[in-house]
Amino acid sequence: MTTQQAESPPEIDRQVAGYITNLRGVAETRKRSDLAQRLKDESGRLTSLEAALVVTGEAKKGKSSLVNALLGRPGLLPVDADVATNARIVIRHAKSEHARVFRDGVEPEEVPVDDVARWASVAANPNNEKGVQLVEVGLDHRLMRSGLTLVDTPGVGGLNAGHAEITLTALVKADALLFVLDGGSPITEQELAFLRRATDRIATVIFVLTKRDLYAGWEQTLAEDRALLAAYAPQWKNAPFLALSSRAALRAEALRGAGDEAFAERLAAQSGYRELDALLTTRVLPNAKALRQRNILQLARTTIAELAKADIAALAAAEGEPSLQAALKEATEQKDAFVKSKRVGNVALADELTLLGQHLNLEFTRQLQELRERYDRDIKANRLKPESVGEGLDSDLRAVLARLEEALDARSRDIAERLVGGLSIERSLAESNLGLPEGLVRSSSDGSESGGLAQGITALLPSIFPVTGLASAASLLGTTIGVGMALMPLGIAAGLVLVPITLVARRRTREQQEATQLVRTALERARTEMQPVLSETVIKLRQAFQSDLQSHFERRERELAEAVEEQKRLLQGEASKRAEARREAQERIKELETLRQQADELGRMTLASTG
Amino acid sequence: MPFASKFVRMRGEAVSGVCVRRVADLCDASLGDLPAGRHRDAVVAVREHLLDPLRIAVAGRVKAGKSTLVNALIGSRAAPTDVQECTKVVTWFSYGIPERVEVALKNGSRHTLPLTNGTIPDPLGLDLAEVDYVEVYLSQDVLRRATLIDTPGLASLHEEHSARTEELLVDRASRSAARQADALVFLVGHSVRENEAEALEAFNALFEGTGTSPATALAVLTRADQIGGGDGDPLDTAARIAARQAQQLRSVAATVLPVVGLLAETTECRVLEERDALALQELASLDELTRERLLFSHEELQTVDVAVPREQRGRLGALLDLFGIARALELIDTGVRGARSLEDELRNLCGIGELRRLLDETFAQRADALKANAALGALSRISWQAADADSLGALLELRNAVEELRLEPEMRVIGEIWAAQAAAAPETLLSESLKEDVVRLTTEGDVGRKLGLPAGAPSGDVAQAARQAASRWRTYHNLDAATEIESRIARTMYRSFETLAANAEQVGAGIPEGVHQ
Repeated sequence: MTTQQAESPPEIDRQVAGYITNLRGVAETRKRSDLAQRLKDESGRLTSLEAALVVTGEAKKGKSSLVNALLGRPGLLPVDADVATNARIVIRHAKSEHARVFRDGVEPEEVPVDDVARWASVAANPNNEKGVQLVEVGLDHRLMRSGLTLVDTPGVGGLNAGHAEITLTALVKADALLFVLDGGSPITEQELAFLRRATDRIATVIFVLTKRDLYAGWEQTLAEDRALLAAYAPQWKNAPFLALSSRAALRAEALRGAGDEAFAERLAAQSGYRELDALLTTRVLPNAKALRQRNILQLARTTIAELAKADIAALAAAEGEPSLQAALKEATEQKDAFVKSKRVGNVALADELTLLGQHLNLEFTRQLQELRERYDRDIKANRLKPESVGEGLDSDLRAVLARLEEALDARSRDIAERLVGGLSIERSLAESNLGLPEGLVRSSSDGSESGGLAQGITALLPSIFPVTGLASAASLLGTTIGVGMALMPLGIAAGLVLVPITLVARRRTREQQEATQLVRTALERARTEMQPVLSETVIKLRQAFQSDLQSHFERRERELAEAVEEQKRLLQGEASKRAEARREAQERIKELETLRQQADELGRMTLASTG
Repeated sequence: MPFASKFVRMRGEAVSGVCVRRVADLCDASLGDLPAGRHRDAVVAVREHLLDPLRIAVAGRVKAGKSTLVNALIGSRAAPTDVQECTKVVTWFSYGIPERVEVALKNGSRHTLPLTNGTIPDPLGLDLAEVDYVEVYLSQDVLRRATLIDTPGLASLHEEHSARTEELLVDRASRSAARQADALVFLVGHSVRENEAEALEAFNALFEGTGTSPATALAVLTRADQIGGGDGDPLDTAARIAARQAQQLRSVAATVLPVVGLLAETTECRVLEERDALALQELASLDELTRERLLFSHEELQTVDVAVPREQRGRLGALLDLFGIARALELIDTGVRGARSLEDELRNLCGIGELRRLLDETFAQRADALKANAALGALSRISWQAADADSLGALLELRNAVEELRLEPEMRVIGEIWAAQAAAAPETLLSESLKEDVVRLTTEGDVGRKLGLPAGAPSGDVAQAARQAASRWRTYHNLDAATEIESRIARTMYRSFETLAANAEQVGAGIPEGVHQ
């Protein structure tokens, strides 16, 4: 089978890894250990490569059975006609099998793998009374070894609206989506609406039809689903669509070696799981890998452009380029303005961040308001039973935080671009008649992502994001997949703040009026308690911006000042020295240009490898 | 269309009862005042259909098994079930001879078609976009007492189908004022979905006459055999799940009943033949292992090498599904032989008998009240429609007459049904305990149980509980009821409880029940 291929990294992986190591060396040689460090951090993520496959669909379509069958592990995830999954379950690779439960305000707790059902099902944990946010299962399974992470989600479209939000936020970091439909009835309007929302940012979707053993008419349903997708979601009309029987797959597994190989073989073939396995190993894994490789290659290009700035200045010096002086002047002014503004309270940045703070606050208040209105409406309309209000509130609050995190992320990138992206004269310097390679001047890209100065700068401001309290808070709260990585001190603090709210929210009541009151109290408390967290986030953000931006401006000024000094020295000295300096600068630029071309070439190869 | 109108009054047995008669009188009085025009036409239509048999609509998701269940209830496979989206138009099944299909087009014309092998011709041979609804007339006895309405699937991606259902059930236009259902059977799947609960509520909010309430709607968990993923006894699981769903839907539907739709259709329509019984006997004689393999999946049913021809196996699969075949083989093991006996045994376990009993108790026995209730709702809506000066006075009169009639002691049952519907509406704010009062009063038969007491409770206890309930509702009426609807619910309720109390006290005093009033 094709799985062998995924276990030994193909040529392209080796090449990308080698390239990044090489570029790190170049950055170190040029005394830019900051850039080298950033590359190292990113490539660390490259080697711990995981492709997250999120299994999603309406309740009771057989999602957990599918995961069990795919892994050949009956009973791993809770499966029963009357049992529904109510927490996210993440299955990733581990040398020794284990399971860990992440709960509100409690250290992660090791539990026996056989007990997963006790933590992640509605029956054993109604209304999520135990406060389970995530169950992580480590398995030494072939698919996991080759880098697959499976995420099982609660079914959407049930009476619990919060489940849909949990799933949607889980999808933010997903590489691929397994959309589960069942063989008994065609895809509905609601399923399609969810599909549209879910696939905003996901490039790979595999459709599966479950329980094909149970429904005589599954082929007709499949044909109808395809026709409906073609009509209502044409972007997915050619997406892979498999018909599965989890029961057949598990039975085949159980029968292997039990005497009747022919029957076992027939069931295995009927189950459709071989096709699914092949799709995952030939398509999902390489695609996810390629995406991460392209991201790191994009960072490489940005790094090269940053490295080139010093060399371009040096070349301008050797060429006697007159605009060099002006560039220095502009850089000095920018730095001075920044330092001065920092002393007097850093007006521009302060303004931006005040606005950001206000925006976050407004957004938070608005979303809470919307939430309250929705709950009032649903409770009154009997759409929401008073006793299940707590569970929904819990997950809805988490979803609000996740959206807030997204807004924060986008806004701070915006601010960074506005504050840093303004060195107009530097661009004209780079574009002046110095005979520079076209690719170096314009931060190029392989066509899959848009390059550009602004993106380059934000890519070089990595330290902003780890300190945003919300980002890590939201991670702790179970809104991202990489929980292991996201447990940061600030996040825990924010998580603790939320605990009392969720405890309030998890209380059960049978009366509508009481439920309405409960929602009000819980949301009011969420508002009161999140205010300081938001303020703190903005303060941390300011600190990060200040130190990062200051060193950025100072470095620019230093580099240009050195170049101007060099220019003066060269203009007074012998022509041969100038020629020597020009040659040196050109060589360094040429080296960078070669590196850039390699990045483009590797980028094309990763694209080609995924078709 | 003269041919069609000849049969128009032949819809089965007229519902007759005090409620229906009073509403008919009200219609007649109103017709005396109303000038010619659309309002009058609408009242005429209500009056004309008042005496029709009870109308029960079957609604639910696409592929929920609506047509299958309709066929089972009729006892004839008249509705096609093997097409992609089975029912594309609203179809009425009424009693009538000769058996025929009448297609009503939107332009008002009608086409009469013969049935093809007892089934509605598919395709109809008409442009579906032009079709308003289809009426099927059959000679089945069961249709004498009730007309069944098969509806297009809700939540269908083919939006126009969902819209058709809404048009039918959510009666907005006066044109169809008389064309609405009196009661609802709602089909649910394995998990009750958001949109299903919403659909039920939509009915509630939008048509006063036949809103869903435990008094006018019951839910069926169809395809009960396919629950549980093919392992274990699906019927046990289905019963458990249905009980939970009944809890979820308690404010809108009387109960959730698990039914194996396909088995119900096959056995009620008597389509099992002796050759099927013989084939099943042949399969039953196979060894345990082969039997198990054969029934693992439909693919295996076709694959495993046994003496019964593949075509015959496919037929059994289509008639009984894997679950039905498995049960039939077990029955043969215990000595059951022959198509009729197998059908009888299979019918006993598929849940259709229980559904019939419930339909009878919940709907048929209360046909008089349900019909009168639906008609009053329709009349009320007509009375609120915009009108010119000529009709305005008569409509105001009609409106008042409807309200007065609802409050009359004789019409108490109607008032209660109305209250149950209004109490279930989203905009009505009632505490859970008050809601329970309404549900119990309108769905329980026993006087004790109506009050949350054990069945057959002593009349002293009944009287006391009824007085307490009445006072609860008076308090609500005086202090909490914020809207006119809420006040009316409260008035209806305390009057009903007071009547119950008075009756119980008289029984306690040795006066036979019913003499009161």
